[in-house]
Amino acid sequence: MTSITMGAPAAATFPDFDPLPPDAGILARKIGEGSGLLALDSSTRVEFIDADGRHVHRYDVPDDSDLQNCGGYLDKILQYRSPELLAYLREAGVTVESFTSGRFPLLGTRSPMLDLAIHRLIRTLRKEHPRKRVSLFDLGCTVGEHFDLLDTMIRAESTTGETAADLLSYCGLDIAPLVLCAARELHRHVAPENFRLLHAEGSTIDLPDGSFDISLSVGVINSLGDPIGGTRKLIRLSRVATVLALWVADIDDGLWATSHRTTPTFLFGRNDLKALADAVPERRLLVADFIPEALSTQQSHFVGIDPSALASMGCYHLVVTSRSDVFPDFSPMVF
Amino acid sequence: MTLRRAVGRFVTARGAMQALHFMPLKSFHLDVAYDAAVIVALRTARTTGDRTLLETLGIRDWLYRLQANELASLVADMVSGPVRLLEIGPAAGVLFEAVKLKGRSVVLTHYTGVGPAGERARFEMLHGDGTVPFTYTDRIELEDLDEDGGDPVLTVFNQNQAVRFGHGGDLDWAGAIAVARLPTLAALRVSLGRSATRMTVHGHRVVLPGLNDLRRRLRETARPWQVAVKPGFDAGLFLPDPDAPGDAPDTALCILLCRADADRQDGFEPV
Repeated sequence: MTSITMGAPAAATFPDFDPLPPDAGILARKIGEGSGLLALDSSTRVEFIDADGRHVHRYDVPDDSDLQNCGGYLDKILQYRSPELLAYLREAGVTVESFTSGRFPLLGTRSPMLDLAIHRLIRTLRKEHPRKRVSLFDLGCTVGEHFDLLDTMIRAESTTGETAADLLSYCGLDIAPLVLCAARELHRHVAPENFRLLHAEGSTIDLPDGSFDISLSVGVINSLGDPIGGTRKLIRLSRVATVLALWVADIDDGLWATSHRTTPTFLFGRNDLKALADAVPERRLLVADFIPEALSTQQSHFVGIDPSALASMGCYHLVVTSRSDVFPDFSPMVF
Repeated sequence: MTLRRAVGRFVTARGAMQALHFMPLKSFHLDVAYDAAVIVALRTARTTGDRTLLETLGIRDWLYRLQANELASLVADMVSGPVRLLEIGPAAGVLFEAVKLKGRSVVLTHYTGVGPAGERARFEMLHGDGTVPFTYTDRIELEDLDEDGGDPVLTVFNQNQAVRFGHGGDLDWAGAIAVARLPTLAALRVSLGRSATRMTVHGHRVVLPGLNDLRRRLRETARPWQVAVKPGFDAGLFLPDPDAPGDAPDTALCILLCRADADRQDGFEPV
């Protein structure tokens, strides 16, 4: 008998090193200030140095954010679909406490916490209109992973076997064809009319106001060609609420920074937030959370941001809605 | 030697060498991500006929490193009629998807992937489209497949894929290939000198069979093995061997095939 057993041996670990030369920040900050007339290149690679700091090896891999995102978000879906997570939420309940207990550390991160807010809205709307699907628009949907965590939450609470495919009408939009193809492939079990995908740049949404119950964007609005106009449109698209993660700076008028993908990224200022609050007059910006950039797990997201400027940046988790009754624990933003 | 590592995106001024900015990336943004992305691109080409994604630079680069199209074409050349595929070391199943894209030229009736148990969930999520029935297992008795009376089995030893994750790091790949039933296809990273233990940039220790030893071992089977060798293929995956003289490549990709008929495959030579 020829028997083959496949194992996965543990990998050796290498201590990290900071590959930036001491003076890298000076020129990079000129880019951050918008005064550096530089074209930028990027590469994704693995670099090694020895104990004396000499470069030993370099291995380049495709420098393509779409490929990297596709895999990163697929990883999330795998975790969201795990039977262990479903069992945990059935036992512990779908609550802020169960999400932040540390049992499943992923749950306590930005995107799941925003999904928790969406789930509250879904729960409320289903109570008010039990026979009506809740419609959700996801700007910058990547592989549609929000649908999967919402599905797990809905399953965990249902006593009759309901799933997101039964309750939601989902529409995702993204600029990258690869992630949309992945989203389609991973959700073939959902009827196409309840899992729609659109390929477009997010500022160019061409749908009537009030097309969806809820709209959503986790950070992607910062990368829109027209961040303020696009976000105002996103807010008007929803009939009930818009759930947002958006990056801000402690300034009056927003500014354009450069992301590590060498693409422009807009940081909203106070006046821009006011413009969002005015998108639909009766709605308010409810603050679910604020994560200072200095505490972020991805502090290298922006190129050339001075450490002192970093201290004035952060990410708001917001719900833009007139239904403050659903979120009594969220504070209205005061200008 | 103590090595330190930086993995991520390096931003430079155009044309400059010195990095201005560095964004660390996680392991799931690299090989795992690229494999999943090429599966999506292959699937999209199959289900829609649109090959645009397959033509993007990153996808083409990764397909080449995995030799997925080359191996899928060899599978198509090696079989006629219904066939079952057994792949040792499939990782996420890129080759499985590339063979599915071959459409009518390969009548694939079943696929078995043999990989670590921890990869099962990812594999099943990525291939759960129901097109071809499949089994994923971490252990197999090669003879069982031949004795069940089903369609013929083509065995693929895909160490070139497995080595990226350290899967089968303790497997005697050359030994298993030598005793496998025909037809057999293999993609194997080899040492151009003697058998050598090398470390990948991801920290996995792997044993690379020596090319000459491998050739000798396969000649001794008295079967019509054919080989194509690509010296220096994707050699950067391995950390440099401190004992290696000069800059000449010391590893290669070795594609091996063996089938009942002895027809010479284009680009191949007898072992």
